[in-house]
Amino acid sequence: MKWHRIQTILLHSYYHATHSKETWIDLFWMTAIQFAIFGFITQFLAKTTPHFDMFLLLGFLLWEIVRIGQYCVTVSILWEVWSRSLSNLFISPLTMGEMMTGQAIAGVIKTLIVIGFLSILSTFAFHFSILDLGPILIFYIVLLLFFSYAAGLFITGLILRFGTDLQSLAWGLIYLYEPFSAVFYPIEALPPQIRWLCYLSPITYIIESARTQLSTGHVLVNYLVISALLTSAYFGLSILFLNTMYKWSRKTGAFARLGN
Amino acid sequence: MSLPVLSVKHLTKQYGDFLAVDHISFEIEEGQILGLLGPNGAGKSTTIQMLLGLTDKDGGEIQYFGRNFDTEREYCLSRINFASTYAELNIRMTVYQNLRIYAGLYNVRDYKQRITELTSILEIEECIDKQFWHLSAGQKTRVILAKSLLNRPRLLLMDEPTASLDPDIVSKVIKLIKSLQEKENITILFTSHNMDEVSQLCDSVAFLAQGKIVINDTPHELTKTIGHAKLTLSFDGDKKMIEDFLMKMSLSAYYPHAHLLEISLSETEVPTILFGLKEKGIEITSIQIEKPSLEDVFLHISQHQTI
Repeated sequence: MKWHRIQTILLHSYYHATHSKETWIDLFWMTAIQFAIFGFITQFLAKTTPHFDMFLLLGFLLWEIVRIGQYCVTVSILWEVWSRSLSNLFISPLTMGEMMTGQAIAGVIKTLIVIGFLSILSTFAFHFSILDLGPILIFYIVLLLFFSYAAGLFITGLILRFGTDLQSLAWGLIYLYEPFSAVFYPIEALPPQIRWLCYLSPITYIIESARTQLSTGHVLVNYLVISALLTSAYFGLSILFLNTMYKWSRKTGAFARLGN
Repeated sequence: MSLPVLSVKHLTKQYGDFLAVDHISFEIEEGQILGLLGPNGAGKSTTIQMLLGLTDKDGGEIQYFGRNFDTEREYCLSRINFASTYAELNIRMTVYQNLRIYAGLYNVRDYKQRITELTSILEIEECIDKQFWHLSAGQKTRVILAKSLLNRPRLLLMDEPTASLDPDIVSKVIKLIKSLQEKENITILFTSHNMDEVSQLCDSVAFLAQGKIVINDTPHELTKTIGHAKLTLSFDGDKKMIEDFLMKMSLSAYYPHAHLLEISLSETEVPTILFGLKEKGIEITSIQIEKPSLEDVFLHISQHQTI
């Protein structure tokens, strides 16, 4: 990997984001509006249920880290497919590893900008600050981002394998995890028969820990260890999957067809 | 003797039961322009994709500047480039931003100067701050050409760079490619369906048919392999006498009008026919000779899969 090419992908991401209204609407505008709606609902419900507002806003913010991180990795490749410019990128010395690394770093920056803005909005409008979680928040964010990249790499692999027929997965697939990651409610809220699904999601452990921390002050360290192990497994498997799909698409000519 | 810029040996690609590229071998020397021609499905695009590393080969060897492409991919890719109307640039970014990105990927250190130089040569200064998707087809072609020249490539692969352009713009682009090739001494591998372009640009032409190189020669030599020219004559005289004369020469003619005939023949036979008819007292009022073109070679190969 060459740093100057990763830097160039970062610049690419900056240029694209500043010229693509779609990216701004997807990442910033829609998120901010949904967050505002969520905030007002929680304000209303908090009058009857203590801590409810805090838990919903916390769930929203932590979930958005996953959604935005995954979106940044996957949609960046799709933009090149839509532009018919993927071939031009990959006939340069750029490697898939450099492309994904660059987009992942860009994803961190975009996520921090959006979540930073929402956090300020949350503090002043809804009197909830995610910074109350303290320094452990960095660890939560790192794990969530790595999981989001695992999802992003997996979806990118699917697009390389099946083409743009599956492009809607770039927005939709991550939502399969949302009901089973205890984002807005504890695991106990789900029917006992499907609770096991929650334990397969690394997000569950982070959000459970963050919720416990906000209500009792204790961090669930064992949950974070499990989450880190699961995230590593997802991340490793997604790299393997993307690599296999990339090789397959180059072997079958699908990559060149996707690029033109 | 210097190493060839590109050396391809027994390059092969198979998709299931279909052999798209069948053990092709060719070389391009420094400064040469090689045209890769063939009908649809002949294997041109697959060959180009393998040469660029977009599609993996199943067999054979590709060497750029004497270096193995498989093991020294970065070295090779940083010294070549590609232009095609089918491979565009990011539609949301401006021309400058796109060129800046590719300059970064190719590690062009004097990118500002290079971008200024190329946009000036290619006359695209006025669209430098326009988003790529707002450009006309002709402007896009020139921007793609600028991108392909950013890294001062030693070898430029061009896959139908003028497809879907208006004829006047095609002519301009071809002149531009020719002058750039002379100015920067670039070696070019060129594919096109336009035989005029190929005749104007290429030093040699390799014809692909069913995944194989059927023939590889200069455009002039290739047209000689077809051999047959078309001689059209207007005449005053006895048609029967002409028919008898041509029969003796083992030639047959087509008569579109009573005093007009068309003969398909070897170029070397033309003087014999003209003098022979004169001796028979036939007055020839007009002569037209159409030499075989590269298009005739292309059609011949497309129909017969061989020369």
